[in-house]
Amino acid sequence: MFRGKTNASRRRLLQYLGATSVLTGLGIPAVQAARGPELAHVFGDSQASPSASLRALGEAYLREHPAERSKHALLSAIKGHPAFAACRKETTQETDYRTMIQEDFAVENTVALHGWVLSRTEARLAALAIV
Amino acid sequence: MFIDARATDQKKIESDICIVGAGAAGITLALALSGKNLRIILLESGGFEPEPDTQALYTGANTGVPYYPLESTRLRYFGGTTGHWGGACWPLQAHEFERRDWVPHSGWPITREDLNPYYVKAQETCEVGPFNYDAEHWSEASDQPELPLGDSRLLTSIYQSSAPPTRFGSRYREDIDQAGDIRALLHANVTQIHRDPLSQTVQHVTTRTLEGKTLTVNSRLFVIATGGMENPRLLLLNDIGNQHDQVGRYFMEHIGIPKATLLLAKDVNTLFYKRTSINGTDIRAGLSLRPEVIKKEQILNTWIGFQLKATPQSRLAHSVDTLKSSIMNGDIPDDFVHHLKTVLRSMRQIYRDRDPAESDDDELGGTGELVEIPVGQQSEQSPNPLSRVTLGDQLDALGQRKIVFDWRLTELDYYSIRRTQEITAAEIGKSDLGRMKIPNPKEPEVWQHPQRISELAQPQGAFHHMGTTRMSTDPQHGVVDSDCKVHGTKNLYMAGSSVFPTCGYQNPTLTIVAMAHRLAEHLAAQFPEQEPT
Ligand SMILES: Cc1cc2nc3c(=O)[nH]c(=O)nc-3n(C[C@H](O)[C@H](O)[C@H](O)COP(=O)(O)OP(=O)(O)OC[C@H]3O[C@@H](n4cnc5c(N)ncnc54)[C@H](O)[C@@H]3O)c2cc1C
Repeated sequence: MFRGKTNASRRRLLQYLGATSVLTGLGIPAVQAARGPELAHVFGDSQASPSASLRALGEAYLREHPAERSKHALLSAIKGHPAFAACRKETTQETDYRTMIQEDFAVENTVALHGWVLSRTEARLAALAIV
Repeated sequence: MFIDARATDQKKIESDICIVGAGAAGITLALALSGKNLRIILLESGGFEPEPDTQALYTGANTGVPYYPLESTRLRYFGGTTGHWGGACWPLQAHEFERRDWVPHSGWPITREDLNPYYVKAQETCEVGPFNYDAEHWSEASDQPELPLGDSRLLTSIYQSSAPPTRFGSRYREDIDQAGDIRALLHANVTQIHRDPLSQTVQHVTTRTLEGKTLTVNSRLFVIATGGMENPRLLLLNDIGNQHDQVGRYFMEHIGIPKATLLLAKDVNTLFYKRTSINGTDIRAGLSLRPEVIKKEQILNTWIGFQLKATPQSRLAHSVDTLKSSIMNGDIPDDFVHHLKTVLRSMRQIYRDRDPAESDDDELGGTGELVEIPVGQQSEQSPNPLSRVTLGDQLDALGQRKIVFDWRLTELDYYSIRRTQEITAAEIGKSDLGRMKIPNPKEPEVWQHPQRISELAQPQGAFHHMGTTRMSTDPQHGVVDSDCKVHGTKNLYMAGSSVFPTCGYQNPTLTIVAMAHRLAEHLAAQFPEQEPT
């Protein structure tokens, strides 16, 4: 899904981040919690839109990992994930990031952004939304 | 029988076993020894109600990690601190008795198996359910699932609650009064313990009322059961058991840093993790690390609890249960009106919940598809000789030196909490239940500086005072032996959590009471000539 560099793929990423429930993992806590008091207080805006929360997480990730501050760097890091190939769906060529995210958690390949413990893959995906 | 030391003209009392302090430990001990044809004396500083002047005897200074005023963390009247305990009961786990290479000074001279029969008795004394702390059992009994954590480093751990909390003073007052072999002296502050250095025997103790009346109690055996801070104070005041400078050291508390947050999908069933009443037993579930993970990570034990709001159903069940059992027992609980109101309010809420238009959708504190849950944790502190109770220069109203309390935490304490939070966050993420927010990492060094700790991490104690007269077979490394007898004495024993060499994360009272039952058996065996009455 993220091989293309079009705006469409970026939109799909954002849709994915925003539309699924927490059980599909990626970025959802941040997205949803922006509507609740907890992250609102972190981001200082209780009306923050999901993309604002995502941007804040993405920005926090990039601040800590400046070398990844480009689409190219982030995409190659994501593709370099050991589970990436296995997560590609043959029919649609899309990627099911859930497995990558779960594997990240299993080996504690995590980052703490604004205190939230996220899988590195989901943090990179959030960062992709802003580069 | 009760005697008010202020009113008696007696100057001297003879007994077989003299117990100092009528809290959870002292009362359990006295009643467990009753009926064995022994003369038991129970000496208590306070009366039946709290009295400001007596309570003020508990004041002292804090010089370590910021802590509560000492007089607010314990109660000095008949029943002791159970006058305001929360009733949470759980036994220490088997692995917590073992020596752990990565925890300096760890290891009990006794095992969990040694304590098992006494835990069974303690369950009864503390008025909790059966001696069963198997989460799976209670989950099945409640028909509420454990969190689907899969193959996880976490497991569900439960505690039982004495509900309403057994107030040892009021609950056992009549039993003490009726026992023909127990004489309980109120307003009798023990100030001096007279030990003959040659025979290493305590011969008598002196009590003093606030009005200055004194009394001597002679006895064959003595037990000090005055709580985790006062136990070392009495030994230090009388220079007993301190030949290796161990008394008052290794003070431990349960540490809480209430800052984590969990974000769970609203459809994750967390009902089992609320405080709930199951067949009359009050249960609360939380999470902890598997023993093998603790070992692999070389950390201390921690319990993670979700601060979930009670549903109307669980509140109702709890209150109905409480009211039912008190009606059957024929007594009115302290919080009768509260329970009655809960029943009425919950019924109204449950009824309203049937009408979606009126239902209280935010019952779980949630927003949208996610629920945001504050996460509390209660962590074990490692035994640290520098964390201690000593005597200061200030005197109390009886002319006794007051406590100086220096609570100190170590890097291992901090690291263990931090690491447990990280593992929990990773496991929650892995199992796709949600995400966790944990406080920002802080350099471990800040834990060496009390002022900065309070500023940055704000550790809180749980009012559990442990370790200050620790158990060790080696007098160089502890104050009491495995029978709780003070090293270097022939007839002086300690009861209470001051004898714990390590403290797990579990609230201490169930173990205090279990150990008191065990001690009673040991003491009774010192009088083989005595036939039970
Ligand atoms: C707010 C709060 C909540 C708590 N909640 C829980 C909980 O949920 N679960 C749990 O396990 N524990 C809890 N605890 C701790 C629990 O109360 C104690 O572990 C327990 O009471 C200790 O029993 P004890 O007999 O050793 O000491 P105490 O109960 O403190 O009794 C000591 C007795 O000794 C008497 N005494 C002291 N000095 C002298 C003297 N010189 N001469 C004569 N008598 C003296 C005192 O008056 C007192 O009666 C809580 C404590 C607090 C403060």
